Amino acid sequence: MATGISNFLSPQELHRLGRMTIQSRYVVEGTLSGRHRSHLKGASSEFADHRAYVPGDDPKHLDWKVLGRTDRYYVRRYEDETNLRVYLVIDRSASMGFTSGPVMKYRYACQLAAAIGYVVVKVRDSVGLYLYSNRIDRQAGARNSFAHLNNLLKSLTQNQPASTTQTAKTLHQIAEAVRRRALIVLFSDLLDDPPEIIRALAHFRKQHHDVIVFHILDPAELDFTFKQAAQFIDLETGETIVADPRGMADAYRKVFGDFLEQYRKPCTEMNVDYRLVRTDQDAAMFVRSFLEERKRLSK
Amino acid sequence: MWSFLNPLFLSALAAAMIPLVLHLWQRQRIVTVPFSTVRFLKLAQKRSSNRMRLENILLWLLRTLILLLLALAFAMPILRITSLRQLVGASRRDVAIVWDVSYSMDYVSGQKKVWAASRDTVIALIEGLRHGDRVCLFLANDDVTPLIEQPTTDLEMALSQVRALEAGTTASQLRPAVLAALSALKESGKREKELFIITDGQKLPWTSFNPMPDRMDRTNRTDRTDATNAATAVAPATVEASAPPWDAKLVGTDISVFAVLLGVSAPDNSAPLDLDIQPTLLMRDTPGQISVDLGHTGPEQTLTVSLTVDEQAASQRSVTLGKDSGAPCVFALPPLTPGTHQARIETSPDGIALDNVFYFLLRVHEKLPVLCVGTEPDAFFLLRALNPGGATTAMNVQQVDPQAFTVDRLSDYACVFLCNALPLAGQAMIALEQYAQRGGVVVIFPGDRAAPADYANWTCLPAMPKAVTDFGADTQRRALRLVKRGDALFQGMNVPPGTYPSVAATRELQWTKPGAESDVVIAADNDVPFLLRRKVGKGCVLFFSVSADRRWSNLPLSPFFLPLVHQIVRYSAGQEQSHPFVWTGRNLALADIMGALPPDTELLDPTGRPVPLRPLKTGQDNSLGIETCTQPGLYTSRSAAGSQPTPAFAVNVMRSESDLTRLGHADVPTLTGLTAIRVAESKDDLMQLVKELRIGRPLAEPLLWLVFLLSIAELFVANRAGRKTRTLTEQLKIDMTGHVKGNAAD
Repeated sequence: MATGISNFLSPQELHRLGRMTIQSRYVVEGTLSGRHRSHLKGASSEFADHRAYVPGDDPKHLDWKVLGRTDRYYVRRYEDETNLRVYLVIDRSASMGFTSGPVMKYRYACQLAAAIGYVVVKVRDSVGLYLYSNRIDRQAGARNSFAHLNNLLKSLTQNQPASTTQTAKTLHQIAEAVRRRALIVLFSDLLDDPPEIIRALAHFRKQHHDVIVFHILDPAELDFTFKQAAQFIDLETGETIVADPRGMADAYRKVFGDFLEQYRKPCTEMNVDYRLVRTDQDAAMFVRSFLEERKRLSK
Repeated sequence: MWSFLNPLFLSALAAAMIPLVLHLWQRQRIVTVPFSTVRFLKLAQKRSSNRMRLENILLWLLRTLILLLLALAFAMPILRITSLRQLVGASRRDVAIVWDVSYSMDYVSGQKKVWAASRDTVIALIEGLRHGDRVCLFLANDDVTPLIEQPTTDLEMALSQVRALEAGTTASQLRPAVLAALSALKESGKREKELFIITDGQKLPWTSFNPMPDRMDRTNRTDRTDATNAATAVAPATVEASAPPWDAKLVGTDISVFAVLLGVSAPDNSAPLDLDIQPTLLMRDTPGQISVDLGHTGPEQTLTVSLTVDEQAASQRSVTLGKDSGAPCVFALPPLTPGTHQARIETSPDGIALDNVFYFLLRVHEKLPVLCVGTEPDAFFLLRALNPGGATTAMNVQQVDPQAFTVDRLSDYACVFLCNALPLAGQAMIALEQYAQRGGVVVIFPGDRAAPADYANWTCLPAMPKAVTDFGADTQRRALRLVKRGDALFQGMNVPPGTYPSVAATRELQWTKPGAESDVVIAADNDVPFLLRRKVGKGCVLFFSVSADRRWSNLPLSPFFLPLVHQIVRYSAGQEQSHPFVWTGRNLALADIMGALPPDTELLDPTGRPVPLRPLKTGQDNSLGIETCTQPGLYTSRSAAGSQPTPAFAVNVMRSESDLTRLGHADVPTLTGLTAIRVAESKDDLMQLVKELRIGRPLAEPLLWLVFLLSIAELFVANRAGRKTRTLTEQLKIDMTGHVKGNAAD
């Protein structure tokens, strides 16, 4: 049985993803010099601003041109470039175990996480993991090795959807845990209280994290394409309801559309990259399209 | 009252419970589907529960109703209108059938034969009767002929009579036959009563129901036909007048009336309707012309019309007739030899063959026989005027003294002149009056022999003489004026040029005031009557105020005298008693048609078979006649067995029947005043209506139609819930990168 990344992506897909990069839209904090902008001013070729010279500063940072023109002492400051730390936050609540087709939502989230993680590690950035349900079930720090990535993915395979969900509370915990600026990628169906989740996302943004939300939904959840009357059982709470889908499809779509709108609009306002993903899409292809578009927009 | 042909199917009404049972059963075996969260389902259900409940109730009602109606339809319910009567034992019925047997029923169009269809309908009606039902049958022709007058239970006899019957040769009117049928049904007591009118849909027979026929609506040709009928004293006019008026109230509420209009929807028929021969007096070797009035029903058509004289084709014309309109057609008549010639006008074959041939006789005279009663001196000038060229003139004048005057063979003369012949014996007076009644012209010249009192016994004079005025030496020339220049008496009269009619009288007859039926033909000095005329029967009496010799006036020497007396003779010949043709009908008096019939004369019909003659009462006379003359064609007569037959008269079918203008379906209740009359267009339609009346109206078919409509409604309501609407994915317009570009509200 394949484990690690090969459990989620084929060699062809890995090959195609190998040339992709994930770009943070904001400055990040890393421990290594990398291709991403850091909020720390330091040794790099990228000019940041001037600062008045104070005794003790290295004279080599003096801007002689400014001194010649203004007869004042200013020191040149440079933006520090660092590596990107990406945290994959994956929901493993019982609702993520729903499927109306061949791919479960949780499995699909894992595929996306594997593809993103591969792209991140490939460019020597670090990847970390938070797996949660009604609490944080598994967490791993950000490292930039494939072995680490494989370990993360193995742990995803070992944990299957179960339990209820408390996404907002968990996200707050994660936000508190990740102190340095990073890219937070959330994989969830967000079937929780939308205002609370929005507040949690705002928490991330307040911490200057770049946030990407992959709202993963099954086509049946979106379009409610059931044909026959049935007794529906809630996968998380076990609640049941007898309903005739044909008679209430329109009302369901309206309600669910309102639910989605509660995420989309605030995310746009908070500069959270919100993406709605249907599990009947090819995961690797979706990631490629997403990364290409993100790269194009960040230029 | 309801009943069911398949009551067993009523148990299937329990199937109405199927939708409810299915609903409950479905609830029992409902499947379980795991879903990510049900909170949205709860919200959606809350929003749509009221609408869904309504839709479900509606669907349940529709499905239950469909099953109920299906079960009812298969049970074949019958609405029995007459069931109540059956309960009180009035289930036996009397049926009166009025069958139009006019010759228009013989219409043939391709494969469709109206007469055969009508016979099949009558047979089907009789065969549809049950044991104990009674039937009576009345034939509607120009009057009514009861084939089975009293209702009978012998249906086999009725069927055999119906099968043997053929269409007649007369026109038709339905009113007398319907009245006779209603009269027959009066005796039916509590039995159910049904009256059937079987006809071809022609408008003509139905117009007899109209109590005030609109004469303005009738065409000229019909008026002419009526006029000819009246001239021959044929029965239909008498029947029309004698038949009781129609009142829809005569049809009781217990009588069910049916009418079936079997003819084709767009009939096409042409026929020669009437003819006019000019001059009316045909003389030897004198050309003439025949004007034929053609009638046509149907679309525009070009018709070939031919004239045959003595079985020799004389002429042929091609005439274009417009839609439902007639046209005249004129033939030149070649000079003919004296005698009676058979002739006929024929039109192209069409739907009715009987009216395509119009038979008539052409009587060509060599010399006109004129009788002059008076002594040689009294009639001298008249005889010279009538026979100016001796034997070469066209008149054969016979003079007889008043004492030698006998009444034998008066009808041989076209005209009788009485020149100072009065007083005459009473028998002679009566004979002369009868002669005038039959179409003869009696011309009276007064004279010295008769005093005014001698005229008192005459009943046919235009005015009664009151005195003889003697002018003596006061004789004055007075101008004569033709009071009515267009009068038939003066038509074709040639007065020598440069002459003005005038008279110088020394004596003159004075009259009392002329009667209403008399008129002044010639007046002296504008207002003094000089020649009076009175129409008597088919002929007339002309009465001069002066004598025919020179003792009273100079009239005989006037240039006006000769053309006047010639004109009177011609006018007399135009009034001749025999007509070129007569119409079919009843009680044809031979005396009216061909004059007095010599003893031992045998009359032969067009097929050569002897026609039985019966004594008929016509007016005040008893004469021989034909009781029923229905066969058109040329009738001949022969004086003794074995002798060569000579043409006697020509008979034609009544042409009013040739007008096949069709009656509208809705016109039947309007014309008859019977709002409850059931009208059918075919035998099958009629039998369906009869079935509905007798058995009841089967409701299975309407119920199945209702089921069909409800099924459509159910399909609509059921699929309304599951109709195709835009999915949320389509509304949100999610692209490949997961961007949401649309809005759920869109």
